[in-house]
Amino acid sequence: MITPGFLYFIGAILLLFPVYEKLKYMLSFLVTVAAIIITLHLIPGYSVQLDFLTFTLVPFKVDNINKLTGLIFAVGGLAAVIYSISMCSLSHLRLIFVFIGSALTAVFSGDLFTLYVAWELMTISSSFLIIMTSDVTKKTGYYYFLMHVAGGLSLLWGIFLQYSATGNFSLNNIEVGIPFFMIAIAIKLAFVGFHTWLPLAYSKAPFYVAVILSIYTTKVGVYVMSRLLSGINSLAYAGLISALFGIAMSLKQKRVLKLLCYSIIIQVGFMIIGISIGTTEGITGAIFHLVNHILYKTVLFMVVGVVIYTTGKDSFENLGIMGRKLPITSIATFVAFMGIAGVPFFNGYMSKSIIKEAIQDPILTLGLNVMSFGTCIIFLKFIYYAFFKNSDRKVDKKPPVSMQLGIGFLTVLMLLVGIHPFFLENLTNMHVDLHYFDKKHLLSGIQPFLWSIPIFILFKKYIVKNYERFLYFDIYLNMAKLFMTTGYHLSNYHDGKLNKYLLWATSTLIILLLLFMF
Amino acid sequence: MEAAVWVIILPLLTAFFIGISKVYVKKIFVPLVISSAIIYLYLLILVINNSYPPNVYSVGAWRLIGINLMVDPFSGLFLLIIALLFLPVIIFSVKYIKSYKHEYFIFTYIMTAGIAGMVLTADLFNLYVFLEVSSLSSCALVALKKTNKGLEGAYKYLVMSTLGSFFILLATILTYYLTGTLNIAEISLEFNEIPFKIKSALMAFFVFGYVLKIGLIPLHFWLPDTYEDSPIPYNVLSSGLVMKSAVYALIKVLYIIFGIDFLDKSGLLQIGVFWGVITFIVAHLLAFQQSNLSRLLAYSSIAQIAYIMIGLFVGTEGGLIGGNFHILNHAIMKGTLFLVTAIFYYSLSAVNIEDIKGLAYKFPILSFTFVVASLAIVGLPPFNGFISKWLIVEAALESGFVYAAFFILVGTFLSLTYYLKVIITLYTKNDKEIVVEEPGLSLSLPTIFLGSLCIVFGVVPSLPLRLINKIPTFLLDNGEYIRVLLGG
Repeated sequence: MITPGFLYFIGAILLLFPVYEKLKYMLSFLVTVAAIIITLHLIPGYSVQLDFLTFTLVPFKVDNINKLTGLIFAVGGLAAVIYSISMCSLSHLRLIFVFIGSALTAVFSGDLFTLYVAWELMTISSSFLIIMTSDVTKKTGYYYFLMHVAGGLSLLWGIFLQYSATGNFSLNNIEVGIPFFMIAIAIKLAFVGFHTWLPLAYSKAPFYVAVILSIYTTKVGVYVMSRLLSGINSLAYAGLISALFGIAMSLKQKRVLKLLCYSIIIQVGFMIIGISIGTTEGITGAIFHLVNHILYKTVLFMVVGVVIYTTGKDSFENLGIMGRKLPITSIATFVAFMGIAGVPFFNGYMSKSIIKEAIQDPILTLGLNVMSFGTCIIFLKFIYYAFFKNSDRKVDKKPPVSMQLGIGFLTVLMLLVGIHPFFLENLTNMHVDLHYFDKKHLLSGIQPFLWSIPIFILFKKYIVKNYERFLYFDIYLNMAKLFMTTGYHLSNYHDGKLNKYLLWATSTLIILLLLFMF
Repeated sequence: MEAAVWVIILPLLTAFFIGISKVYVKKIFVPLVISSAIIYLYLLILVINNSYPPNVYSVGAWRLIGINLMVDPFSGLFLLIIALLFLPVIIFSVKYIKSYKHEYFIFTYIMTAGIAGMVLTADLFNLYVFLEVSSLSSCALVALKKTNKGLEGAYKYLVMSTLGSFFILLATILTYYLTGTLNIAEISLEFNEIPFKIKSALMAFFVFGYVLKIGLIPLHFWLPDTYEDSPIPYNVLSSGLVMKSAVYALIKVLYIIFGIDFLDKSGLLQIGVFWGVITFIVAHLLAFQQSNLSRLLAYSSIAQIAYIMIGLFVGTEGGLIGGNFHILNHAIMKGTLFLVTAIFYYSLSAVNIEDIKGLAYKFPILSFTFVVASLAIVGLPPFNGFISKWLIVEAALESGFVYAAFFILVGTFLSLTYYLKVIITLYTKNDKEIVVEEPGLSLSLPTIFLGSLCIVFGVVPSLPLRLINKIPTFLLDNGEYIRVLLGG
């Protein structure tokens, strides 16, 4: 049976041939739609085995959780590919296909080896996507690649430790080398302290690349965390801290894309909390939140993409072109905003309620409310610029139909999930015993949103203000400098003088003799 | 079966006839070179197929007194590397080399004969002789272009190579003095009687001599200089075969003559692994500083050899398999990288990293090959370098060298820093108008062939591993080897 990830790889290979423009559209559409259909028809429990070297690998294994994740990945793939197809060249499309394919492979992998291979393939393809799309992203791509490979190697080391202790590659909760798995996942899901690549990459790269990267990179991290590191309660507080950091940072941003980047960190915080609780309810909530997050955050990225496409820049003032001039974009923005704010009858509400229900600790409940509240404030700023601030920007060019199609498709899905939350549950047989629309949940869901509006109005001048960039410190750059200076001093010893070299050789011989004789 | 003998003789004869063709019939040159390489490929395949169970040939039917050739899986692996590299490099060089064409091919064939002799012989003195044949012709190849840098490199190479050879010869003579024989199997039997201290000193000489030729830090200094201004197709053979043949000789001497128990007792295994770790860390640091592409690749070669040494010195079956697989993989990956570099040099005489800026848009397929090979050498999946590094790390962990295993991963990260630098330069758009000479199929096909092997061996590692899996039996248990050699 053909797996959805494999389908994307085949698509990438087919794109190697010189393809006409029309054929490119057809092929991409076929591949992405077929991937959704295949994922929909997967039967939980199905698995494939493969002998490789001395191991027996399980490169493909289906269960409820990864079926849902894979489904949303496939849906995101369809939307993102439709959205970006008019802008990206054939070679970029190829890389996008490899990237999506490896993300799907990672999600459906049944053992650590396959997971690692898919993980690195994601890194490679996404880095090259960043590197090759424009000339200003070379350094960003370098940084991104190194960060992710560091994470990948940390994962590999963890896998080695786990393998040598237990003797198998099974994807269960990790017993040995947990810190290394933590670092790997922290880098992937942009945990605070390891997040430096995210704002850099997503704001520098062309917007359609940012759309695609934002769907998969961090979410694969979340999914893998739910597989390997679920139920470590202390991590919930870490997630909370990460989210609070994200709120503080995103309020200070001058560019919309960066605001969205930091808001990813906040949303990932919700998922970390859900996973760390460790109960079925918590994990299910986290995965549902992942689905919803992909829906609304992708739409927001796409909307900002439209703004960049039509005005050329992603400053807040340019958001003002929404409203009457771009009707579909405006509706989508509104729906996504309601979703991310967690307002009842929109999609974010559902998963936030599940996570809230799963929490026992009062501190975390409070934290969760603060997080929702912060998110609302941030996006009220977004909405304020988009709809309420008078703007005289003009639309130079209309966004192409394909872009609007991508946005519209996801918006419809969002509305569907929001109005009928059981839709997601029924899709994968993951039932949460929760009455979404009773009074208690409705009240607690809408509270942060209601509070945020008066507070936003009261403190508007602080929130809408343009902050100066404060001290920027990146520990990784300092480490790189140390690496460079060490290398520089070492290479200075190589001045080409033969007598010096002979001295080295002689001393080596003496050391060797001493070592062996005594 | 005489094919094994012909593996040594054929390149020598070809070298001779190339010389004759220069004087008398110039037209015959290209057909002669190519057809000889093709026949050679056929011979090699024949011999490799017969490498298991091992075969012993006595040249001239003089039995043990005479020269014995032995084909076991370990030498089979090296013949496989020759088979994979030699024909592509020859095809590549026919178009690439423009000055001193005859000399280049003569020395290349002699060098190959020397390497083939090294891996086939079962005699300690012949090992030395063939080593000298390959090193000296290799020196001549470095100096071939007669530029200042080339000559300087050749001079340093000559001094260091001679110093190394001196210690190898010294150790060989001492061994003969102690045991009265030069046959590897007989030496090994006699060695049981020799006191521990004397054996240790002998081993120190062998190790020092061979490591000078392998180039572990701090004995590496001549290596980047030799690569800098020599004919680049030669660098393919140099990093793929000349350096590796010294590794072969060292491993053969250590594992067969001294035996694994002695290596363990004398602490060489621990020293070797530690030495390897130091070497690749320093080599990676140095490689990042290079602006010359060939020098960068040279430092990377040093680092890769260090990985190989770790694999081979771990002293377990898994380590030997991983190390040997990495020998093969490194020959392929570095060969690809050097051939692409050679094409860049051929097309627009690019030597520095800055010079190749924007070339990816001129040579999309070749640049892709370069990217594949460099990601493979960094050790990222799904390429071949990943598999062999995985095997090495796994073996190091199993036998308790946890620090070595950990630092191999650190080294992977460090090597990415400089390869990525090159790749990004390759893919940065250049405003300057670049005038290039089209490389043509005879240059790009060998390159793409080697590059595709990086993917093939990464996805289907069982192809080469079928041969490599048999290597450890004869190295770990030298009794087996001795029995075959003496009984043959």
